[in-house]
Formats: sequence, structure tokens, C-alpha cells
Amino acid sequence: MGKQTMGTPIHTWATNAETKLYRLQTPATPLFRPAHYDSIGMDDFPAGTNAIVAVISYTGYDMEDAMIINKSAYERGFAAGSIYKSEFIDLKHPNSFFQRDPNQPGLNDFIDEDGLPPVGARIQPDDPLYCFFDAEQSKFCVSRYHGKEVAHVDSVRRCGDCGPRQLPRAALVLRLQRNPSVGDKFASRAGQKGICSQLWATEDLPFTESGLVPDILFNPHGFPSRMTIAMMIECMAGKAASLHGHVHDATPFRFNEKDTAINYFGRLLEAGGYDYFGTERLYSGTDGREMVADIFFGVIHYQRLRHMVSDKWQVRTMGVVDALTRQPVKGRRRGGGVRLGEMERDALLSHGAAFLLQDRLLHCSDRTETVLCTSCGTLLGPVVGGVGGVGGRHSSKQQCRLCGAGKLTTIAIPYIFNSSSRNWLPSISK
Amino acid sequence: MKLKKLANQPSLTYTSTREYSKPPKTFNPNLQCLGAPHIDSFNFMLEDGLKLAIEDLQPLDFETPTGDRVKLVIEEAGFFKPSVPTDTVGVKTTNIYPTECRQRGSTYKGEFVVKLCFTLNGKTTTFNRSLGLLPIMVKSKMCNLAEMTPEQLIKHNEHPDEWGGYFIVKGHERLARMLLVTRRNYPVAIKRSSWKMRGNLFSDYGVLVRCVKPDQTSTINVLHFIQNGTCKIMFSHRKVMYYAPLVLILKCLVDWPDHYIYRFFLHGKKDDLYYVNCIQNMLRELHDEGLHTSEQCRVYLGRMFRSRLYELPPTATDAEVANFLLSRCLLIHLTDGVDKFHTLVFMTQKLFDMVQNKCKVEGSDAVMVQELLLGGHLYLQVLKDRLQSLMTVVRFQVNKMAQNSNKLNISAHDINNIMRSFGGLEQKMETFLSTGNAPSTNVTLPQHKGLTIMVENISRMRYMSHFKSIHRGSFFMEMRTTEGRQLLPDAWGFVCPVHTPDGAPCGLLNHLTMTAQVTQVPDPKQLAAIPQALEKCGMETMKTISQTPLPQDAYTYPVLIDGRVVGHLSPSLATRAVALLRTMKVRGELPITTEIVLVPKIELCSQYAGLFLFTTEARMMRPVINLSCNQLELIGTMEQLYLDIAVSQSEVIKGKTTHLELSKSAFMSNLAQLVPMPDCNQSPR
Repeated sequence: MGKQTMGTPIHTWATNAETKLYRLQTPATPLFRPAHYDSIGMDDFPAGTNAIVAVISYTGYDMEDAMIINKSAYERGFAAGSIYKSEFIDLKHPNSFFQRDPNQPGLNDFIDEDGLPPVGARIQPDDPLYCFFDAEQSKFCVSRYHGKEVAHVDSVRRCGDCGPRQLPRAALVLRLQRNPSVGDKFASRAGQKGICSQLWATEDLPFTESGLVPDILFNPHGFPSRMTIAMMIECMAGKAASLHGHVHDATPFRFNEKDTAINYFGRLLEAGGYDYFGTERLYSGTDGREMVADIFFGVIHYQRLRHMVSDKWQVRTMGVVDALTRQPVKGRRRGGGVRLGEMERDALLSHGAAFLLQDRLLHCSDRTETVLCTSCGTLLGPVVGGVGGVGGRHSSKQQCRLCGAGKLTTIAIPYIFNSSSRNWLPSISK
Repeated sequence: MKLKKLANQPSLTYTSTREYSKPPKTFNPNLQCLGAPHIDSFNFMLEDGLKLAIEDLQPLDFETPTGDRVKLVIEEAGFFKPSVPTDTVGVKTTNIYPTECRQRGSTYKGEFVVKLCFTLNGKTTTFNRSLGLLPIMVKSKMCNLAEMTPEQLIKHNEHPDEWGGYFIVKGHERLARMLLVTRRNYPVAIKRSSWKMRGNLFSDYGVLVRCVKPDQTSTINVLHFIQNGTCKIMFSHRKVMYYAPLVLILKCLVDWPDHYIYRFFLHGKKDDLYYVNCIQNMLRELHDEGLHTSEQCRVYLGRMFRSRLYELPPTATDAEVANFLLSRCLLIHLTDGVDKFHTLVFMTQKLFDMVQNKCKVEGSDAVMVQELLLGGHLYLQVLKDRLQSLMTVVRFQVNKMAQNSNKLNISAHDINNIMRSFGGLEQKMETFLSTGNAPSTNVTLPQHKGLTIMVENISRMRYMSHFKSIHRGSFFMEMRTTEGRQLLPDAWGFVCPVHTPDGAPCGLLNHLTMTAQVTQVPDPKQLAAIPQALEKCGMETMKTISQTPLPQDAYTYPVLIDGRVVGHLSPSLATRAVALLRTMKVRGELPITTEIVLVPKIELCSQYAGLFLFTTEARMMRPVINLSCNQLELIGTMEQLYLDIAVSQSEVIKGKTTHLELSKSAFMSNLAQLVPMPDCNQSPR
């Protein structure tokens, strides 16, 4: 998971123009780490936070690897992060220049005189972002911010060059605040990844005898099949380290069957007045009663992964459709839909959810109304309105060209069915 | 090499002292080594590589239709540090630093100037000409950040432990991908079913050698076994493969009588009747064709290839054509015909042993027979190809001018026009680095696409792992079999078994372990000491062997240094010789990157025996502790197969174990070593 962690990729935040950078605002050094961590100076680039973890199935919101985060921890800045996005603005003509349009006083709130936004400005979606004089069209152009999230301007730069015909260029770095939210991904260093399913209020979370409330509730079902013993050892080691003010060695092959890590850290915990196995008695957050179970409780280094709901959510009722088929397009960026494929269709069918199926595949897709001849049952025959007659007679009656009968009705069918039935039978439709 | 102190315990001292806020005094060697292979190879290019490549270019020498003789030679070429144009006014410093290019979205590039020597009918004009600004590797010798202390680096907006090794192209950091290629100058025994398709009666057996010149130009030769008991050599020119009978080539190389040649073939092989018959047949076959002397063979070879080698002037004789072919396409790592002869004989013996199942097939998928294609070497090859195409453009333009006038008269202005029509190299090299697509003409590369990667800086770990990543090549991505993806035991200590992605590139995109390093070009002075040391140990040199033949019935180890047969060593002396060489290597009397491989001759069918020494660049090596002198020793991928290396002190068997691993976790990559207690997890991620 290490490769997709949000952390501290660089220190030169003010002087970079990397396309996209992820930053964790409140990182901490792990308390249980291999010697190699120090030798490659990872402390200079920390990526993760030490979380107080209780291994407990508590609210039911922690099924299938989900985890619950303490809301107060979140409010204190637990795993807060931000994304830096940079954007280069290239003007096409050498005589173009960046300037705020003097005739649009409304721009003053958003753009400085130099045509670029001020550093630190808060930009809402569709706010004016920059303004320039276009020498080709001889007029001022205003470009707007197309993102869907509120952003802050981190830095603004004009870029020069030594060439004779240089085009005006500017670099904007925008910062998007990304604090943890429901649906964001976290992982311990043992590869135990999970989604935050709730930000749970502190007062409703279980607490220990000393009043300690966990930052993260981890579901114990994550352990048996995955056998990540290292995470349990880390839990004990982290607890022991924070008790005694140490940092513990996590280099592999240092312990063995006779001298186990659990015994080593267990004894340290005992010396600190805690249970040998790292468990504690917890009191229910809802009614305050002691829970009759030993709950595994300790400190684990958690990483925040870069997969965030804000980058991935996708929702659609109506919107862009394909020009040919009139079906919704795909792709989050274009406001498209999620594919309801054959297997999903089968699932809906097997549940007998006919209305839902119709809603998904017809009403929310390419529903169209067309005329059908009820006597011969064809879509191709009916002629509506007084277009040229059948058999030479002029009439304003609606009728079918094929059977000549006039019993027409309007039905709702998929557009693609209508259009392709016309396309595939060119000889008849002519 | 001295034993370095490795951190044994993590501690909080670094973050808890006041020094934390200050820039470090020295670089962290563990981080600097990330960029080292890239920078070393680029520095080699800047200094020796470019010089060698220019010498190796085929000079332009031709006659125009008007009867004028035109000659063009590139005499010198060199880079300049990235700086603003000299006529720029109002700049604080003329240097351009990488941070500017990153912020501005431009390319970090320095001027490339060549000294051209243009001769028209004996009248020579020499002039310098810039061929544009070419991308410069960050922290190489031509970079403005080279030699800077951490504190100075911070002043120039870099990280204190910046290790460089990448190019900045249009604001993006691009890295030349390290590709696994066949080990240079070592004949590998391979069985490949596709070789059967190469011609009538071709078998799937062959001995492949990837020959690399000092300027990193490479070509592949294969000695094929034909099912009628003969051999054919494959060589390629301009991407077209040709096959020639072994003995024809041998006779072109040396002017020796048949029996003398036959004697070299028979060293230690007297009782192998099949082999003896095959050799005799091959020697006879050539006489059936009416080719008896070396001269006849050369003329024949030249005549056959004349029409294909249009870069040669029409005045060249058939023998010259043959010489050109032998020097440019056949075992190009050797310059001397006699050396080529001996190497071919060695390859033939290996081939026949393999065919008769007396030695094992090595295969090209084992890390043991692989080395790396490095960024600087790749850059050099592309640059060399571009310079050669410059020559072609000049020839074309001069011919065009000659058509328009009946007497060719080229002024300095005309030369300028010709050079302008070439357009410089700036755009071409930039495109090469930004897209990773190499020009497909003339350069022998394992692949022509995806040669560079973008160094994504999503997190620190990801950024670091790019620099140690090694790829097997895009060819294997399409292959359905898992052959190229397997982790073979000889990869221990060099390729991390943990750190490979899931999905399509699984097993093809690997990472070097923390301690594995890539060798540099050795010091030529130390190199000369190797044959002397071997002679002292009792090796019979090829010179003495050619006068007094070796006994045909007693086995002796062939001794190869970088693909050149230098002599034979009797088995009784071999172990002691190797021990001596190893001591000299550890002491630094031989290059410390020498790889000493003694493949022992045993009764069982195993790898083809011999004493192989490798000193060349781009091999993977890793440090272990040599127990006999308690010092660090670098060992190579093939070398480690024949050493007894204990993982921990408790495993040492007295009298047998010679080496000790640095640590129990030395076989893991930088990133895999950051996982806490991976030995306690079921599937370390």
C-alpha cells in the first residue's frame, strides 16, 4: 500500500508545478519500524499517522473491512490532507497578454490586475479564474474554474523563456482540501486496507478504564483469514513504545520461535501496567456498561491512501447522451452513468424487480415514444399527419402504409430499437 | 572496500535533536545509490562514450556524380552545461537549474556542439556547429547541481538528498527504464523452438552471444546447430539476418591451414567421436565449394554481400567488403581476427556439448545471464544513430547540389544550409525522452517503445522505487507463457522477490534489492593486471598454445575475460588461481567489480565449465562479506552461483563457507524493507 499513500512527497511545496501531488497535513513517525526506515531517512518524508486502534466489532458499520473513525479525532486533524494540482496556461498568440478586463468590474473580486487570481483566493466552481487579452480576436477572454470542488490558489507564476518569439505562459497551483470523509481509504502497513464507513461521535464510542477513546475501530473479522500477525504485533509494540517512550524494531528475522515478539512486547506492556496480551476492558459508549470481553487495544501506524470518494463519486439522473443511440454516455468526467451490464440485468431479473429494471434500462436510458400500427403490429408502416397518400389518395388521417388500416397507437420503446429497426430494413422503410 | 556500519536499531534521535532543522552535512549513501547507475552511465557517455562513438561512426567518403570527392568526419563532440543563451541580457546568473525547468514546464538541456571536418577534393574546412540543446541528466557531470553540498542544493530549491538520475522534459521528470538484457560478451547456451523456423534443418539449439563494443553498440550473434551436424552463424546488418557456415567465417578470420584449425577444435575433445566427425565434415564441405584459402573465402564472402552494403564506396574490393562485415557484424566486442577465431571455437565446443546433453541449457531468462541496459548507454546509442543519420543527410544534400551544377563548389554558406536542412537534434532527443520511442533504424535495442518512464511522485516510496525498477522488456508482456515472469533462484540478492506489482507486469517489472548495484566502467590500468595475474597462476596463454598444442586427452578450463579466450588453465591449478584472483580483487589490485566465475567441470550434466571473468559495466553486483579476509566483496549474478554464502553467522560451515550475507533482510528491496515484520505476515504486501 506504501506506494499509494498520501504523505510528504516533496518539501519544495512553494516551488513546484507537478501535475498532481498528495499531501498529508498531520503525519507522524511510526513507533514500530524496521532499521531501514532510519537508514533511508524516511523521517524526512513521513506518510501516515499513529492511530489508537480498538479491534472491536461495534456499530455494525464495520462490515467487510470498513472501519469507523472517531469524529473528534477527525476534527483534531486526524489524517487531514490536501491535493495540489497545477495547471499551465498557454496563450496561443505572442501578442496576447494576461490582464484583467477593465470593462468588467465584476472580475475584481476574483482576479488581480495581472489577469491571474490572487494567491490564497478561494475559488468556487465556475468562478472566473484568469483573464487575458486575445490578440487574435482582439478582445478580453475570461476563463472559468471547471473543477467541482472548492479550491485555494496556492501559487501563481508567470513563465518566461529566452527564445525570440515567446508565448505568454502562466502556471497556477491549486490546493484542494481533502479531509477524511466517509468512503475514503485507509490502510495499516500490513496491507489491511479498509474504507471509512462512519465518522462516529466520540461520546458514543467505547472507552477504556482510563478514559481513552480509540481513533479507529477495526473489525476483528479482518484477522482470521488474512493472518496478519505483524499488525497485531505492531499494535502491542506501538502501545509499549508509547508507554515507555521508545521506538521498537520491526526488522524481520530478529525474533524466533523461542524468543517471540509477542512475549517481548507483552512483558513490556506488563511492566507498564497493562495486560500482557495488549487487551483492555472497554465500556460501552451508548450505556456506559463494561463490555464483558477483552478488547485488543493499541497503537498502529495508519496510512491514508490516495483513493478518495471525492475523486470517484459518480451520480446521474439525466444528462449527456450519445448522439447516435441516445443512451447515456460513460465516464465520470463527462457526467456519464455507471454501466448496468448483463450480469446486473440478470440479478435484477432473478429478484423479479421488473419495475426497477424498466426504470434503469428504459426510462433513465433511451426511452422514446413512437407510433405503432395495432393491426399489423409494425413500427415501420404508420404515417402520421397528411403526408402523401397511400395508393394515390390524399388524406389527413393517420394510417399505416403497409396495411392501410388506420388503427395507430403511441408506445414507449427504446430509441435504439426504433432507429435500428429502421436502419436494418432499408428496403421496407423506403 | 570497508565494512560499512549499517543501522541496527531504529531510534528517535534523528527527530529529537535540534540538528533536525539544519541541512545535513553529507549525503545519505543509501539514497544517493538510487540515482547512481543512471548518473554513472550518463557520465560515461559524456566522457569516454561519446568519444568512442564518434570514432566508431562510419565516416562519409563518397564521390558525387560530378566527380568530386567529398569527405565528412565528425572530429569532436561535447555537451555544455544548461545555461541561458550567451547574448541574453539582464539575467542574474547564466546557469539554468532544474527547479526552473520544473516550475516553468521546460526541458533541462544543454548545448551539444560538434566539430565537423568537411573535405572537398582535398580542401579541408573545419568548423564547430551546435546541433541544438539536448536533455541533460540531473546531477550528472554536465548538470549545474553536480558537486553541490546538501546545503547548496537546498538553496537551489532541491531536496538535500537529491540523487538525480532523471531528465526533466517539459517539466516532467523522465527516467530511462533499466531493461534486463542478455549479459554482454558471454556465449549463452539456449534452446529456443522458434529457431527451428530459421531455415532448413535448423535445430532449436544455439549459442547466443550479445556482443557490445566499448561505445555500447551491440549486436547479437548466434551459432546455430544444423541437424546435419554442421553449424551456421547468424549475424545481422540493418535488421536483416544472415547465416553463414562456421568454417567459412573461421577461414575468413585467420589464414591458417586446415589441420592447424582442426587442432584448436580438438582441445580436450578427442574421445568425442561425433564432434570430431562433425568438425571434419565441416572442414571438408568448404573445399567441396572450391574455397581453399583464406583469400578465396574473403573474396567469396565479399562478393555475396557487396550489394547489401551500400554504405561502402563502389571502389572497395571484395576482400574489403568482407573485412567490413567481419568487423562490424561479427563478434564486434573483439577487434582481432584471431581472438574472434578462438571465441568461435569456444562457442562451437559449447554448442556441441549442449547438443549431446553434456552440458545444460542456460536459457536467457535467468538473472545469471543478464545485465542491465542503462539510461546513459541508451542515450549514447540514440545519439550515435542520430549523428550517423546526419552523415546521410549531408550526403543526400551534396548529391542534390551536384545535380544542379556541373562543378561542385561548396562554400561555408552552403554548408550552413545543409546543416539547417538537417534541423539539429534538439527536437529528436526531446521526443525520444518524452515518449520513450527510439528511432528504429540501426540501433540494436531489445525494444523500441516504452524506453523511458515518468517518475511519479505520488508518495516518497513510489518515487524511490522507480529508480530501482528493472523491466524484462515489452516483448514479454505479450507472451502468454510465464517463462519470463518466473523468479528463478539465481535472482537471490539481486532482484527483490516481494516487490513486483500484481496484474499485467507481474514478474516482468522487478526491483533491485537494497544492496544491489550496477557496475561502472573499470579502470583500464587495473584491467591489464588480470591476464598477468592469470599467467602467474599457471595459465597457458593462447600465444603459447598456438605454438605448442595442448594435449587432446586432458581437460583444461578455457579462460575467458569479457568474451575473449585468453588461455587455458589446468583443473589442478584452477581453485588456487581463483582464490588468488579473489584476494587481489578484494585488495583492490584488480577492479573491485570483477566477476570471477569458475564453473567447475563435474561428471554430472551441468553448466558448461570454464573460468569466466567479467569486468564490464552494466552488470548487477552486490556486496557480501568475504570471510577469508573479513572484508566486503562485490559478487555478480553468475559468480554467486558457485560461492558458498551463509545467511547468518550460525550457518557458517568451516572450510566450506567462503562468504556471509550482510544481513538477513538484504535480499529485499528498499520498499520491501520498510514493511514492519514481514516474516510474521502471511502475504507480505
